[in-house]
Amino acid sequence: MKKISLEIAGKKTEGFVEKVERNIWIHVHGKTFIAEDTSTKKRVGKHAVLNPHEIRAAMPGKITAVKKKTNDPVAVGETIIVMEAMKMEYSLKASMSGFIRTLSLKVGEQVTAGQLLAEIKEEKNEKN
Amino acid sequence: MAKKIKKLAIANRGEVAVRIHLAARELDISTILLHSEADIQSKAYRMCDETICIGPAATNESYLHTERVIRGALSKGADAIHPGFGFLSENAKFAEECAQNDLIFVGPSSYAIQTMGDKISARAAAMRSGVPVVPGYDGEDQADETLLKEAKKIGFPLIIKASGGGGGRGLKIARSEQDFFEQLGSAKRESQSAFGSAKVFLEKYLDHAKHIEFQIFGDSSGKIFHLHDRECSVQRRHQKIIEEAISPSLDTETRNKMAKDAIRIAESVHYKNAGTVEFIFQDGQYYFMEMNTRLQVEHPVTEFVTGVDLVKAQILCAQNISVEWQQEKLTTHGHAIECRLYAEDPYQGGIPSTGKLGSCLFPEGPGRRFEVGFEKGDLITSYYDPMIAKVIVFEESREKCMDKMIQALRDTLIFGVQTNIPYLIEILNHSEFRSGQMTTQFIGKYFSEPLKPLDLTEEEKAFAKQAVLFADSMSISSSAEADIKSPWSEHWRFV
Repeated sequence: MKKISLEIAGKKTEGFVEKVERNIWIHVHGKTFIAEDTSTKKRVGKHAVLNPHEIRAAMPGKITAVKKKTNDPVAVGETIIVMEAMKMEYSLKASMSGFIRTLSLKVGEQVTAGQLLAEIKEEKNEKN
Repeated sequence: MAKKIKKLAIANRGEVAVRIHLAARELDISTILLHSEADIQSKAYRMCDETICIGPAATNESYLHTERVIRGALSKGADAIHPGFGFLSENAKFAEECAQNDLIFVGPSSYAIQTMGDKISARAAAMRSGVPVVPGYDGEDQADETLLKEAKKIGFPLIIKASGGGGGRGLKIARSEQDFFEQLGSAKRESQSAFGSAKVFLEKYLDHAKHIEFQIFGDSSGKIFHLHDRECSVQRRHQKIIEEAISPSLDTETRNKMAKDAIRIAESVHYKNAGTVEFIFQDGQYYFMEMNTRLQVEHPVTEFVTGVDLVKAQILCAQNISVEWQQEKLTTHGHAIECRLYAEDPYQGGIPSTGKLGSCLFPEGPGRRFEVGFEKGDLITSYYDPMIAKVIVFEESREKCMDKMIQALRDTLIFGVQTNIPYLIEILNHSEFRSGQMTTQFIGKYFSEPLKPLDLTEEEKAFAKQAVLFADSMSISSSAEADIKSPWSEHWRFV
């Protein structure tokens, strides 16, 4: 970590900077943030817009309950999956109404961060 | 039977393991850290006099595995075990097994743990002692229909709690009859996985209550002291985030009554060592909630306002040495606040943020105390509670204390994982918190949404831009500096 002092618009500004793994971290004026993710060059602080069609695991954990199955109707706010991570249970709820398009999880299954757990679509699957 | 402790085994991790080590060192006692495979990169691992790996990362194969914990302690010649908080700290069977193996358990008797650890018998003890309790159902009949019938009797909303638990795990709120079975199932599963029992109890949910607790201490002489109160109303998912001593909400009369009741409950089980009697306080009325038969995470705020060292007192008590306090001299002065620093992303609703820690700075200052569990190069994993450190500050008044905390948090730097620092600062600036009127609904009411993305001034953006160029050119990578050799083979010996 380096402490740096820069003159910005005639004013002295002090802060800290360090590259940790792939990210460049900055602390200035009591604020800590990632200035840049060097692997993707993505500007952080701006998070990807969540796709309401997808239910993803926000962190690694274990599935403790599966409330729906493929083709079940769901309403906004309804619990689809319950998972346990860091010793707390988290209910993953639908952020749109529709029908379950895909969902093939078993209770007890380990999931990784970002893993797609279920998909919702507006229409019911067509019978085939 | 007084027995001197020469070697103390620490059956915990993180900042509390460090805290216990420091207390032991002041008492000239050497320490052995009983740790999991995942915790070889932690401050406690580096500080303790000896270490022994007792199992893999999963808690039920290491920190919760009583046999391995005891075997680990014995293999290194420990004569006592300090369980810290969480894990085995409120496990009556473990306390008993320690005794059977000639190990002093630094904590209360297994009888006290059993009576108070089970919320149902604790409630009964409170009722027998004439202490007010919240209406609820604590029966042995755990059939779904019975629970639903009782739930309707109590009325919604109501709380479903794991009867073996603490710290928010296995604790759910059912807002309506429709919601009841989902929450019940969830509470039972969490309870089963965290405490090995699916037994739950139901309780009326007081919806604008405060959480106020009394620190008590049962001396080896048999005398029970109280060390005044703490307020911990700022909670998220029933986990405390900010605690303070003393509560800004009690008048002297109520405070004295509660202190007497807290002592009465402790006396009912002939309590020895440190414990906390938790009350729920609403509209001037207080009700006994539960007793935690262990050291609390938030003990430092009490230490600041009373000037005692609770962990040292615990270790003395375990050796049958009296602390020689006098109740009338245990007064409080000033105000103390504690914030728990969690590795989580406040901009994404507080989801845990795991990874390797970069540099960390906890700048000391007058009235500041940092309890740190992890440092640069350490891994924050998803196996355990994501608490990295605690910040505690002390000032002459609550108002000044809040301002001091904000400054301490702004000075604190943690790289590598996101932390809840911005979230804590917003809470400390919130008018309801400032006024001292906050209830346990506070977070749900004002902070249920993720924080808005960080707002950087033009100046800060310009700084960031130049700093990035600087970092790229210097290529100051922390991973090269923090290359730690793996001592697993050395320490993995008996399991």
